[in-house]
Amino acid sequence: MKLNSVIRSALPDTAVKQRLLELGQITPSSEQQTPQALAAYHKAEIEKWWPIIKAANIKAE
Amino acid sequence: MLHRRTFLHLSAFAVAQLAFQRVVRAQSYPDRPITLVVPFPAGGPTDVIARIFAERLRQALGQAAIVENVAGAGATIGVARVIRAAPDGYTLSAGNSTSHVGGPAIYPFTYDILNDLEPVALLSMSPTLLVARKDFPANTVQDLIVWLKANPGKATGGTSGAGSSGQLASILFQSQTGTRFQVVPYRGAAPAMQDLVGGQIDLRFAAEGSQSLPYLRDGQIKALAVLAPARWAPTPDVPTITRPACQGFTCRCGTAYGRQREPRTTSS
Repeated sequence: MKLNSVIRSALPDTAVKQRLLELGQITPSSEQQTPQALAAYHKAEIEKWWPIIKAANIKAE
Repeated sequence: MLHRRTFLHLSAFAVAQLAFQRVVRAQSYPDRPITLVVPFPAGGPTDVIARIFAERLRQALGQAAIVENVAGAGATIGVARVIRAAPDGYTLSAGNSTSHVGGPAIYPFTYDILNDLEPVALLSMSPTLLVARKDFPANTVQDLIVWLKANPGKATGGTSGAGSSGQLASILFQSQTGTRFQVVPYRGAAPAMQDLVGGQIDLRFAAEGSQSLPYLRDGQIKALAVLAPARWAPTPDVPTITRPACQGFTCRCGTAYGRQREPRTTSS
């Protein structure tokens, strides 16, 4: 997918890398940069946190 | 019914992909500006990262990539704005676990956060830091646990809002350590940090550690631990939290675009 490859090509870019480094950002590994990996991570986070949020009875302000 | 659900899920995926591929095949994408919706106020950590990538998108695609800050309701307003937009790759959603995990669990959100967005890529990661006001009595996590046990419910921990990953970290820390403190939700990371610097609150589980760096350098706050399995390069002296359950707070910033919500059934 074009957008994914543009973003992945941005990560090794020196200017981008330098600015992210200044912010202390860690660049994801190439396996972590795929849309599938983001989907799997997102799903895992929801499965982990939604039951905790419900159990803790967190409410909107 | 499981099969049907699976099928619909795959259909939604296929429709979004097909629509997108058609655009790409036409060689015209993008022929107008792209909007990157950041569901937090301008100047915050996610906004800063989104702007770095927006500039790169502009260079690579030859079209303006405009960052639009649509904050509010646990960042769900900005996420919903992308889901409602046409699924054509021109409206992208940038966010993290506050906007794409916690917010939709707590705020009224009528969309399916997992299935109504098409993931694009993980952009960057940084750990959550446990930070305290500079004159707080505890200097280490061990000190903090002892102090909290001696003073149950007395300390205050500011978060960037209900459902934010800082709030989730606060809850998990208390349950893991058998301690209690007051969790104070703010409207965003910036005001929470201001009050920590000003000493109005005691603690903060600061997701997106980069926000804390300037204050740590100036000694306006202090860091007790990194909530990650390894130390963080910009804070080499700050130890990692020892409880494995509390180490999973690396803040990840990702981007996605809207999927077509209701796959059209065709006669074929």
